[in-house]
Amino acid sequence: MRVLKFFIGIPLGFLLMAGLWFALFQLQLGAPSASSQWVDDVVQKKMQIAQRIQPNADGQRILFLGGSNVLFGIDAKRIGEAMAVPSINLGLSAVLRVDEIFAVAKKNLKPHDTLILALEYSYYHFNDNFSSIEIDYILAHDVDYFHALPMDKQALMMVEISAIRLFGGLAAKAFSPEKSLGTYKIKTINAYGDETSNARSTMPQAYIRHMLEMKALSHRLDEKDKFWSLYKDFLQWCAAHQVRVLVSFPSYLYFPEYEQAEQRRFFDGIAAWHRKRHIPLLGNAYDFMYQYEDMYDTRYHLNDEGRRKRSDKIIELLKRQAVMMSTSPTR
Amino acid sequence: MLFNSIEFIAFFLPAVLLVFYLLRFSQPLWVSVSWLVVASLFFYAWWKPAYLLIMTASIFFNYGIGIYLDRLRSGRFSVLCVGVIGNLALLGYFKYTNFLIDNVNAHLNFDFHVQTIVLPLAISFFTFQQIAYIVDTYRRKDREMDFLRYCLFVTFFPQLIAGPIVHHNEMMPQFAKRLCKQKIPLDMAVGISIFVIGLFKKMVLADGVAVYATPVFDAASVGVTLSFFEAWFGSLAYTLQIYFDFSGYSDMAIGLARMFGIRLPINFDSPYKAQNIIDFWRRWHITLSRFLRDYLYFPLGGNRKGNMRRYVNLITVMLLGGIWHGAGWTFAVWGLLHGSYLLFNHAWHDLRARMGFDAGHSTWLGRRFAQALTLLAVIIAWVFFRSADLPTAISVLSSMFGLHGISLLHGLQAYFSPVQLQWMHAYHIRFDGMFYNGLADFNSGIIWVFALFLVALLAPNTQSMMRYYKPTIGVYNRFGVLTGSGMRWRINMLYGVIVGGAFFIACTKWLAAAPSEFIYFNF
Repeated sequence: MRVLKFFIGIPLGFLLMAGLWFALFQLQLGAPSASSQWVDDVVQKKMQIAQRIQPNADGQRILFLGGSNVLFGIDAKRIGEAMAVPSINLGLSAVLRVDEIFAVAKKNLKPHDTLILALEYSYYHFNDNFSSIEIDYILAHDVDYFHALPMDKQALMMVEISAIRLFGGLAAKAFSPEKSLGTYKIKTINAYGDETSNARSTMPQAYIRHMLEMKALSHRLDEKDKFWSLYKDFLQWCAAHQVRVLVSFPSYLYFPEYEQAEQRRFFDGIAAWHRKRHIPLLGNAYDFMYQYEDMYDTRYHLNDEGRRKRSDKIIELLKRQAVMMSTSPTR
Repeated sequence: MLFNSIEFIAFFLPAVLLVFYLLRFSQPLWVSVSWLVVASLFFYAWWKPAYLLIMTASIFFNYGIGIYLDRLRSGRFSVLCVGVIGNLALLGYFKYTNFLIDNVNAHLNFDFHVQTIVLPLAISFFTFQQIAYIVDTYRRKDREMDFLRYCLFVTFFPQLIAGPIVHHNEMMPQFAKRLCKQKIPLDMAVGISIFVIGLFKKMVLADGVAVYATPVFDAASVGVTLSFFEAWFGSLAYTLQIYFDFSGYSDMAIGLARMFGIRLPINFDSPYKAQNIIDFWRRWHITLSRFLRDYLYFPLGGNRKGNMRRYVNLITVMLLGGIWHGAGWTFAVWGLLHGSYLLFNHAWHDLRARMGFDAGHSTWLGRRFAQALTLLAVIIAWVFFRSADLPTAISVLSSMFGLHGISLLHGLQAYFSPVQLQWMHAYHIRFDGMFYNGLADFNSGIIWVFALFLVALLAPNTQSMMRYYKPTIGVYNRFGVLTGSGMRWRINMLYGVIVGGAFFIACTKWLAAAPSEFIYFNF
C-alpha cells in the first residue's frame, strides 16, 4: 500500500512543484534584482537626459544609440559643442536585447533628430535565445516585454530561471530596493549621458592585463538572424517619424585577424548592407578599432583617451559628410 | 544515449523495463537475458555503431580466454598472460597511441604520423571488468560457460559506460535468482528514488556549479592569468562539480540496476568526509580502488615486502590509476600526487604507531583538521585532473598560492593608510577587484559553492539514507542494514512527492540546455 502511495506521490509532487515554481515566478516578477539594477539605472537616467535636452533653434539634436560601447566610448558633450548641436549619449548596455534598445530609442526620439547607431557586433547575430543576464533584466525591469512574448517563450523563461535568481527575486520583492552590484556606478554618468569613470590614469593594472590576454572573436553575417527583421522595422519607424539615421560602428579592440578575408566579409558586409539601402555610414569598422592602450575593461569599452579619439573621429566624419545639412530623412 | 537525456528517460528505459518484466514472467530466463543484452547493445551503439564491433570483439576474446582457463589443467598462466596482454593492448592502442607518438615526436625529434584515434566509449571500464573476470577465472574463483550471460555481465547498460566496475560473481547470480512478483514494486520504487536523486545531483547541482568552474579553467588554458580568488573559486567549483557529477552518475547506475532487481556494488561514499587520503580512496570510485588493490597492488606485493616496497607499489598503482583516467601528463601528475599523499599518510600512521599513539583515538578538532587537510590535498590534485595541460595547471596553482599577487575589492583601498598600502604593494596585494577577469557571475557562485560544500560535508549520502532498502552490495550491520546514520528514506507518499518535485526541477534543466555528458564518460 505504501509503495502504491509512493507512486501516486510522484506525479503529485511533480505537479505541486510545477505549481509552486510558477507561483513563485509570478510573485517575483518585477522585483528589482541587484544584478540588473545598474542597467535599469542607466536606462532611467538616459531617459531623463533625453527628455531634458531639447533641440536647438533649428529643431536638431544628435542622439548616439548602442550598448555600452557608446556609453563608455562617446563624448556627447564634446561632439555637441563641436557640431553646435545638442547631443545625447543614449548608450545603454548590451544586457538589453536589441529590441529593448530600439524600444528605449523610440520613446526618446523626436522628428528631425539625427540618430547615430553604433550597435555592438554581437547584436548582428541576435536571435531568439535568452541569456541568463537578459532574463534577469527582463524579469526585474521589463515585465511588459515578458508579457509581450509568445506563450511558449514565456513558459521557457519560467523554467529556465535558476533557483538562485528565483529566490533572489523573491528576496528583492520582500526587501526592495536592492543595491546595485558591480563596479559601475550611475553617478559617474554626466549630464549628456557620457560615462566618465573610465580614466586611463586611474584604471587598474588588471584591466590592461585583461586586454592583453584577450583573443579575437569570430563573426559571421547571416541575414536570416532575427536581428535583421527587427532592424529593418526600426529603420522604417525612424523614416516614418522623420528621424535621420546614420550608421556607425562600435569601438572594438583591434586584432590583426580582423583583417583576414573571412572576418572582412563580416565587417564590410555590414557596410554593404547599409550602402545598398542608401543609409549613410559614418566611417567603417576599422576606423573604430583600437589598440589595447585605448581600451578600458572589455573589448567594447574605451578609456577616456580612446573616447577622445573616437569622438574626434566622429566629429571629423560628421563635418566631412556635412550630414547635418542634409534634409531628407533616411528611407 | 545519456542517462540524463529525454530519449533515455522517456522512451528507452520504460520500454526496456516493460519488455524485460513481461518476458521474465512468461518466458524462460534466457529470453529476458537476451532482451537485456540486445537493449544494452542498442544503448551502446546509440553513440556510434562502429564502437560495437570493438566491444563485441573484446567480449568474444575474453569469453574464449575464460573458457580455456576453466578447461585447461596446465599452461593456464600463459593463457592468462595472453588474455591480460590482449586487453591491455586493446586499451593501449585506443587510449595511448596518440599520446605516445606525440611525446616521442616532441622529445626524441622523430616525425611519426598517425591519424587521431578516437577512444571508444567505455573501453576503460569494460576492459578492466573483463581483466578482473579472467583473473578470477584463473584463480578458480569464477567461471561462466553461458555466452549470453557473459554478454550481459559485460554489457548490462546501467553500469556499462562508467561503472561501477563489477565482479561477475557478485552480479550474475542475481539474474539467475527467481523473481518474486511482490518485490518488483518495491524495487522499482527504490530504484526510481535513487535514480531521481542521481539525476538531480547531475542536472541541478553538478551542471549548476560547472558554470563557475569551466570558464576559469578555459580562460587559464588560453593564457589568462587568474586572480587569487578566481583560481580558488574555479578549483572549489570543479571539486564540487566532479563530486556531484560522479556521485549522481553512480546513483543513477545503482537506481537503474535496482529497477531490474539487481544490486550493484557501492561506488561512492561521501569521499569529502574522509579524514585522510587512505580513507578518501575507500570512498571515491570504490570499485576502481578495489580493482587496483586486488589486481595490481596485491600482485605487486602489497605491503608484504617491507615498507619501501609498499611505498613503491603505492606510487606505481596510483600512477597507473591516473593514466587509466586519460592519456596525458596531467592525469599522470594527478596519480603521482595521490600516490605521494598515500605514501605520506601510511608513513605518518607508522610513525604515530611507533611513537605509541592510538591510531583510533583523536579529538573532534583533530578530526576536523585532518578532514580539512585531506580536502585541501584533494582540491590541489583536482587542478591537474581538470586542466587542459601542465602549464595550465601550474598557472592555476600559481594563482592559488598567490604567486600572481592577491587582488582585493576596489573599495577596501580606502580603509588603508598610504604607508599600509605601500607595504601591501610590496607584497603584491592590489585592489583591482577579487574577480577582475569577469569570467562568471561569482556573486551567485559563492552561494552555490557554499551550499554544495555543506551538502557534501554534512548531508547523509544516498546509500546511507536508503540503508533499510539495501541499495547496494556493501557493508551491512548485524541487522542486515547498510551501515550509515542520519535521515532515513522511506517509500511512502511524502517521499513520492519529493521524488516528483525533484524530477520537475531536473526537467526544467532539459528545457534550458541539452543534457551534458558525465565527466567519467571521457575515461
